[in-house]
Amino acid sequence: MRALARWLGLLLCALALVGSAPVARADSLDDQVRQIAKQLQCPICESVSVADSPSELAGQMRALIRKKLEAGESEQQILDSFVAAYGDGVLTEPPRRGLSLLVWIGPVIGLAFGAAIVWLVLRAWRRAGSAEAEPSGVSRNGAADGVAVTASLDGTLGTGADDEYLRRAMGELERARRGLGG
Amino acid sequence: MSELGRIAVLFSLLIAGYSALAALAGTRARVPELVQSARHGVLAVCGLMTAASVMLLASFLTHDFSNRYVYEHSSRDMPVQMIGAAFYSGQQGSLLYWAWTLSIFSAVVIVQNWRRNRELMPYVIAVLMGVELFFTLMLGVVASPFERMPRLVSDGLGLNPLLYDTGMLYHPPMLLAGYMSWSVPFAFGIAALATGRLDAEWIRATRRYALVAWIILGIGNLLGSWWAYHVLGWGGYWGWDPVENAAIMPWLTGTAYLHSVMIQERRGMLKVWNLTLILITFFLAVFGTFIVRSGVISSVHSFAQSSVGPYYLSFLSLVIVGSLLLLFWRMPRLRSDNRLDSLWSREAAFVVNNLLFLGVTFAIFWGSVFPLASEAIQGSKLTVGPPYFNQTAGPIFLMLVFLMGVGPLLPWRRGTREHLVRILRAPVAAATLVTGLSVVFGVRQAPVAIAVWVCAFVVASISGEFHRGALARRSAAGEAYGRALLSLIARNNRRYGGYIAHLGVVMISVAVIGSSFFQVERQVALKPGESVEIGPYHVTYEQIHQRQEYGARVVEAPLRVERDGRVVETALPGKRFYKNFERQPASNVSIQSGPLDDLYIVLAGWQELAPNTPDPTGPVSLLLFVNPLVMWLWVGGIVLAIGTLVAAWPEPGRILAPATLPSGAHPAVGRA
Repeated sequence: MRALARWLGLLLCALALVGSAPVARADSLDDQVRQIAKQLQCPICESVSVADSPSELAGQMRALIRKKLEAGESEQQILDSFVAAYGDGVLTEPPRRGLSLLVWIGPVIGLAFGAAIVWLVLRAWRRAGSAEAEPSGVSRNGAADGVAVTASLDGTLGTGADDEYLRRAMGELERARRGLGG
Repeated sequence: MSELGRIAVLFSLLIAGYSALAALAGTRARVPELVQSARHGVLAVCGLMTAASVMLLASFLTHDFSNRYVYEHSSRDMPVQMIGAAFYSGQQGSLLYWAWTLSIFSAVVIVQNWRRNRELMPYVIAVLMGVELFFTLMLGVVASPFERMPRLVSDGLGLNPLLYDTGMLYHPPMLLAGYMSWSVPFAFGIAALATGRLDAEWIRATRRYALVAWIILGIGNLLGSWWAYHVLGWGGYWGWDPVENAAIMPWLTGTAYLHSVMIQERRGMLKVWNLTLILITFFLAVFGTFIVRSGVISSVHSFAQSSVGPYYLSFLSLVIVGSLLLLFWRMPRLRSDNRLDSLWSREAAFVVNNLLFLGVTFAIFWGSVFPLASEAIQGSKLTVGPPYFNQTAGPIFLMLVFLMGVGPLLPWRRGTREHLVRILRAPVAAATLVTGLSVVFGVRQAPVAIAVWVCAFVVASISGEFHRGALARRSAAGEAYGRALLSLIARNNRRYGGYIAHLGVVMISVAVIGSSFFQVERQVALKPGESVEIGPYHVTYEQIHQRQEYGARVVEAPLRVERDGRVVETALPGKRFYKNFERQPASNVSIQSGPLDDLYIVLAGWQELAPNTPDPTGPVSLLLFVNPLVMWLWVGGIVLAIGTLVAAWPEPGRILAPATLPSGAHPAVGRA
């Protein structure tokens, strides 16, 4: 347990050192236009950003972005001006406000809901009665048990839980295979 | 020829319907002859659908433009292999392909189970033929590839330029077959519900069919990524397009299914859940086919709107309602046989695995339908693009990768925390070391460092499993290490095939991480002789030229590429203009691929002296990318396929039944 704590501590220190560096920004004007255009959705095409769209409107939008950059506007100002003109739908990343906040919350709620169900199921399993309660269940699984035996052997063999047991089991299996004229 | 094709489809429709009914009637009324004739019906449908497909292919190859579908999707100047591909390029042809491959798979399933699973098979036949009936109905009524043209024409329209690519030969048939092949495990699941034989029998019967469906769909998706990468020219391989999402969702739930059925096989738990999962997977597979083929959610893929919508919706509703009814009817019999012995067990890990897979599927589904929903609610359409999917699905995928490293180390039934800690020490140490090195060599973003750690951890964990197993074999059976490794895999092919597949997934993850976080892109305008630096490359533009190829005008801009001072091969990005599609050129993306990165160049634009004549002295506009580690995406896919093959391999004979020696024989003298 102590050792684990030490390793975890090391890991956390390492991560702290790394931190989150800003992504290197492009230098030329062309690249800057492209970076901004990538965050805007082409209003008339499907599933294509303004940066990648071959349409005329996208070309005009890219020219407008370039003009604004030359005039000294910041990236956020340019994006905001497009949102003012076309609405929130022009951004490829849905904003975290209003109705579109729901799209971000959805998966979180979904996972939390799922996790709750998993928790309940795991708890119910730990308390549930075993196969003895239903005799028909045993006979139905009679054939399955044969498989289960080799399967659980299979399971133990791979974990390295106990190397000595592993070696002995492997040896016995090998002898058995050979003994049957293999 | 078209007439024969149409008749073949019609007869398939009738016989499929007959087979489904005969199988059901035969098994309920205990008339084995009816079931037998239903079996023959399946084979007949296979023959008829093959005939219909051959007719259509023949129509294409002989340029029979009296067939409307052939006219709309091919032309005389197309190369032969493209004509073959044109078969499934349109809606009607791809439906025919789906129905044809389903008839083949159904026939194979029937033949393989001719004497086995006698109780389940009639219902399997009924379900498979029911699905076949639906598709042949659509083919016969609303989407026939055998319609006639009202007048004579000498040449066809040709194929959409975007489809003129080798990717077209592989991606659609794989993906469509991937969707289709989930019908088989689904049919067995329904059969299990109908017969009440709800233990692991149906799962054992379908293990290989499920693996085959899963790998076909997985490869179909990877081929789609490869195609997008080298055809669409935006520098990436996955755009979170609605149709892409519709293709990955059944694969994700299918992966969850592959894992959770192992719990039912070994411990008789999760019965309801496995049936639910296969139902969800089949539903998503048909839904995916629907999305691709009906243009309901428009995307790069929707080449035609159509009238098949109502048919699909009715079929999907029927599938859902029918399956749920069966499920509820059998619910009392679906109790778990065993209890959970410990939270530190593989059962618990598989449950978490399912939670994460279903979670990421839901996140993708949510993001895909949200624009439609927002339009319905507030009138304006919100865009849910790659940033959303990367930020929601990304972390969940990473957690799943982590689980790939922990899960195999957990034993079935009973593990302890101490045992887990002990066995995790080596992989954790190795992963931390690798991460440390990566930070030293330039990784500065926390998400990347975490991802590197997780991938290294999984590789270390899986390698440890191989190593321990090989050592044990070596000391027990006296084999050399290399031989021990091979026989370990051969004798435990399910387990170790799975590990190999997991390694393939790690390779894919590494490729995704590298190319997502370290991509460099530049857009430049270059005159002849000018050059640009990008990453480790120095690229010089030479001179633009034009040529003819297969009825297309090709404009190309040769570029000399140097890496670290040495000249690499010349890059040749360009654009192709096809007759009838002058305003929609296809891109020849130049990709120079290596284990470290890809140099990816698109010819975006150029000046013209006169219409259709590029100016050799003018500037060209180029889009350049350095995409690190993308090659490992494809290599990982191959490793994944190999692992699946190993896992699906027929197992060596089990030693459960003791052999009886004939009297008088001597048992083998013991060898020591």
